[in-house]
Amino acid sequence: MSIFKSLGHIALRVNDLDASVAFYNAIGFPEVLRLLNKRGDAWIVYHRVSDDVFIELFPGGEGDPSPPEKTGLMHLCLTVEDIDAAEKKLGAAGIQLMRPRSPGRGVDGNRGMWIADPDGNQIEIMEMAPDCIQYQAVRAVEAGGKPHVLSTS
Amino acid sequence: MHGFKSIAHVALKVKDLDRSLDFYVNKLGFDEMMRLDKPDGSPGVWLVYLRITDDQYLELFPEGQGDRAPGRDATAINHMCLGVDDIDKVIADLDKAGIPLTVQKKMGADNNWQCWIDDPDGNRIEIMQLMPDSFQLEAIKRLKAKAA
Repeated sequence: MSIFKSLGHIALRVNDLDASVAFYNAIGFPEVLRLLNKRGDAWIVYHRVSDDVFIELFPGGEGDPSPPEKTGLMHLCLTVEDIDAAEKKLGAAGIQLMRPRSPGRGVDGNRGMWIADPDGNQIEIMEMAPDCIQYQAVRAVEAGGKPHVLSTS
Repeated sequence: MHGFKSIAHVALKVKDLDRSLDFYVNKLGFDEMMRLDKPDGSPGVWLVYLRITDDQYLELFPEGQGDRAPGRDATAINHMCLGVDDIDKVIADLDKAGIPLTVQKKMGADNNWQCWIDDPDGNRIEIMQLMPDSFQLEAIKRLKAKAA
């Protein structure tokens, strides 16, 4: 077993703090805390995902956003209970999907879609199915089995 | 609210999959769950899933372009944070695993204990022991009081 408990937060370096705060508020993660630096400017803005998971926004980003092909943190994934309801609520909040949602399920058995934040960071949204390959693999590994290797081609 | 429950996974684009697996599996202790072959049938691994908890995963995608993750001021996902119950025990475990701290244990401005490590690609990982009187938990308490 790992020495760690869970993911605690993800931090983003952002170009336009106000735009990013508005985006993360709009997708339902309210700003709960703002730390100021000695000059009284925003240093870190915390948005609540759940009671022990946060997204931290740090202003002062330099340069264009890092593309997903580049070595580094690539994307985040958020889970929802009902992806149809989530898509409607995002639309009502003025947030477009990166591309229309494919009908049916992905190779992992889940329904998913993607949005981008104001800096172009990609956010995957997943409705996890009870029998998805991830849950099956977790159950198998916890029962002492070997990791699964699956071919999707 | 939009029905988002939690952060389900974080995906890393990695330069050297074996090196990253050695770090995350052998040293940090996350179990490998499964690996997927590429959807187009071309050779090589598409991604490997590691278990953080039963519903939080790390995804490792090989063939990252560039030798190093973006620096701390670049516009990008900046770092991830792993929560722990006992930071001193974790620091001892990291030392045993041969992983140096890049920032030693300190009390953060948010009233939590923290220390930092780098993964093999230079992704920054914060390790945090959330304290009962932290700014975050007090902020959550205020939200709940407002909702009640």
